[in-house]
Amino acid sequence: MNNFQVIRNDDDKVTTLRIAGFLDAHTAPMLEREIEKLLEEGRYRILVDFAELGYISSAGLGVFMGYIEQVRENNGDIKMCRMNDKIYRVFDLLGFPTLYDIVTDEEMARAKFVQSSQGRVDRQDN
Amino acid sequence: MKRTLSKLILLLPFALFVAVIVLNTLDFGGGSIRFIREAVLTVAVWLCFPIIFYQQWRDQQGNHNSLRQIFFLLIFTSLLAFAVARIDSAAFAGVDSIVALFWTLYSISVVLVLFGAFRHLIHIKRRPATARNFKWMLYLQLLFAFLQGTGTQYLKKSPLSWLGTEALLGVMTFILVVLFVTNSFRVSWIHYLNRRQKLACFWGGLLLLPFAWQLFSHFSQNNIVKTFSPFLGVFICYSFLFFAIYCTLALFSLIAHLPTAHLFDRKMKELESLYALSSTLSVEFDLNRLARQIVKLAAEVTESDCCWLELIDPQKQKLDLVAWQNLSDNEQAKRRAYSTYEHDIEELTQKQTIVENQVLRNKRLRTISRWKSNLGSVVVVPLRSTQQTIGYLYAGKEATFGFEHEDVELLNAFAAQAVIAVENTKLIESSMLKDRLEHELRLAHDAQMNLLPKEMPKLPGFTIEAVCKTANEVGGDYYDFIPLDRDNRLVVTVGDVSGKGAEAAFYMAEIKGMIGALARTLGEPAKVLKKANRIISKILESNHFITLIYGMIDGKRRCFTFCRAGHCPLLLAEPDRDEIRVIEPRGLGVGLDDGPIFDTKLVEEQIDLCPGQTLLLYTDGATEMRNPAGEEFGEKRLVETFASLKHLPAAQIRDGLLAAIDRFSDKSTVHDDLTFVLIQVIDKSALC
Repeated sequence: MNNFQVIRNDDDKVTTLRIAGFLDAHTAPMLEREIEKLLEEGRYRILVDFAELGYISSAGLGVFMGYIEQVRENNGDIKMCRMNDKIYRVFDLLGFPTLYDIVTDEEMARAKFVQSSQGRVDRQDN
Repeated sequence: MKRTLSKLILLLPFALFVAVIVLNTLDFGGGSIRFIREAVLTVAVWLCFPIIFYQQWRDQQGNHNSLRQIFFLLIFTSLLAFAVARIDSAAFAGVDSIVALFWTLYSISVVLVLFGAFRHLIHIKRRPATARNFKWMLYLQLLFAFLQGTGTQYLKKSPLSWLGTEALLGVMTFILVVLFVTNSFRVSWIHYLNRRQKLACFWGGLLLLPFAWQLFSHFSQNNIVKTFSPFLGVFICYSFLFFAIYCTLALFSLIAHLPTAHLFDRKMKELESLYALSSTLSVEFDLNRLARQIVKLAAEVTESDCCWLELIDPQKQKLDLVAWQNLSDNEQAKRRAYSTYEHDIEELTQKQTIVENQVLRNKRLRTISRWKSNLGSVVVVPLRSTQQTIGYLYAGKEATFGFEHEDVELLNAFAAQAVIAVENTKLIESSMLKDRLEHELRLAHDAQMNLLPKEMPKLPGFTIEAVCKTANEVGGDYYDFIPLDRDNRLVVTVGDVSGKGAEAAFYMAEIKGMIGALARTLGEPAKVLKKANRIISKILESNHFITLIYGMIDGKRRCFTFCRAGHCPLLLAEPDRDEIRVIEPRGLGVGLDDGPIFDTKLVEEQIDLCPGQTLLLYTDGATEMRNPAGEEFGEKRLVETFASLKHLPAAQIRDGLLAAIDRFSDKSTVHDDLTFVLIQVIDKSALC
């Protein structure tokens, strides 16, 4: 019941993780494994699609916190998109939006990845 | 009383014999006196039948005793009869001869005792007809002996005379012999003998048979018993015929049983040993003792010279010798020096029973012969549990070709039992471990409950109620009240550590201690939380965080100042407003950021307090409670429920909220910890 699923989708730069079902203390390790795999492969631009997620617990939130530092140290980011209101409420209560890019659609998130990499390049140029 | 009476009845026959002796001395020389004498003797023998039927001591002493008695009594009597036959002469014959009297008395006593012994053997595994057949045999024998003994002259005068005396005698003898044979087929006692006993009985029977038939032939001829009393002569003669027939048939039956005796013995032994093993299994949970028992029984039943059990140590990937029978210390030491698992791995991983009849000649299992030199044949049985092989049971004999098919089967049965034993012990160990962990968790739960305030704080003008329900034995929710020493101030905190279980509980204990200490020194909500965040984000695992509401009731200024660190909003019910105010100042969860961002985002909010107001602080366990359909209770329902209860005293609001959540969840499993803290302003004299 309430299965949790992660579907990975790679393109040139960004890896999209589409998560579905219940993300709680029992299922969080599945997502952790998936993210760890990405980090091993050196893919640090991670976009998480929340469209199909039904529930997220504090342990589920912890998964993103656990890797964000390492990801950002490697010029990457974890961006989140397509959250429903209920899920967004959980993130919002905690103050996630001040720390993470949470956007409404996928394209916007991709655009943000491009922006940030350009910005970084610009800064390096200067 | 009844017993003594029955003993007295046993004396009666002897009294009758005495009467007969008296009758002997009164010699009228007439025929009628002889008839009376025979009749009295018949009655005497009939009265003696209880001697046959009530030899109850036989049941306690078993059939071996009866067999032994039959053997010795028959041989002794036979020798005696032989001697009597030598000295049989006219001098000792006759009704008034003392020798004849004693020999008759002896014979009839032996017959009665032997009938008792045979009755005991016949009645083993008795059927409904067994006792009836035996009694019929005895009574008919008595009747026919009387008829024959009192003389054929009476028969001649009877209406049956047309049959002829010889024919009548023939019919009687035939009927009796049929009954004798019928009773002689009752030889079930043979089944209970083991092979050795069967052999002993066979040789004993072979020796006994001539004596038994000699006795019959002695009493069938003219002898001094017949001269003393024709009735007794015939009765004793028939009795010995029965004994001889029984012994003969029993001997034949024994011969038929002898070839299978060995097998029968084995099966009995197998059954016994398996029974012994399974009864040990049900009471013994120490693996080593069980293994010793298995090895001991396996060695005994297969008559092996040595037997041992090796179990695979999953950690070290090697075989450990756990139990053995007849292995010398030297052999054990040598065995431990070798790792059979490595050497014979190819052989042993076949997972089938290996029977090696010539250990030395063949190369299989040669590792064993390196540490045990005198082995001729060996059987190795793998212990197979459902998933894997857990060890091996070995049985060895010095002789080559020492193991038969049945031995191997039996060792397989023992191995199966050993598997059950090992698995059982493991199960019990793990359930004991589980019990211990549960006990420890209960202790942890008690310890955590002790961290929560034991009673509600007393603050003039306020009623404060709180409840915390944990989903697991230990949880991450907490609430606390910290009275500050001046201005009638009280700090109220509600917190929720991310995750569940023991880990969350430890962080909860830590944050409680820290907040308690910081509250007393810093007091103000924003200051305390900023400091706490800086300290705790260093300690917390990166994927953990804590949400908190830290508020301070100022009784003097009648206000409530608070900060929300990522926690659920504060709900405020006011008497003159229908809606519940959801107050949610900005603030990050503790541990999300190690300082700067947390500090800039944290906002302090102040509420002025007036009577009739109720503040509700809660954790997400309340809003995330699900009903069986998977629907969440949610913030909206919580606010509505709170609104409907707001006019009630704090304790009733608390109970009402819990009841509403209980109703909603319909006793489905609790997912998360659940905490409510209610602060109600009651002082009516105070001004708003």
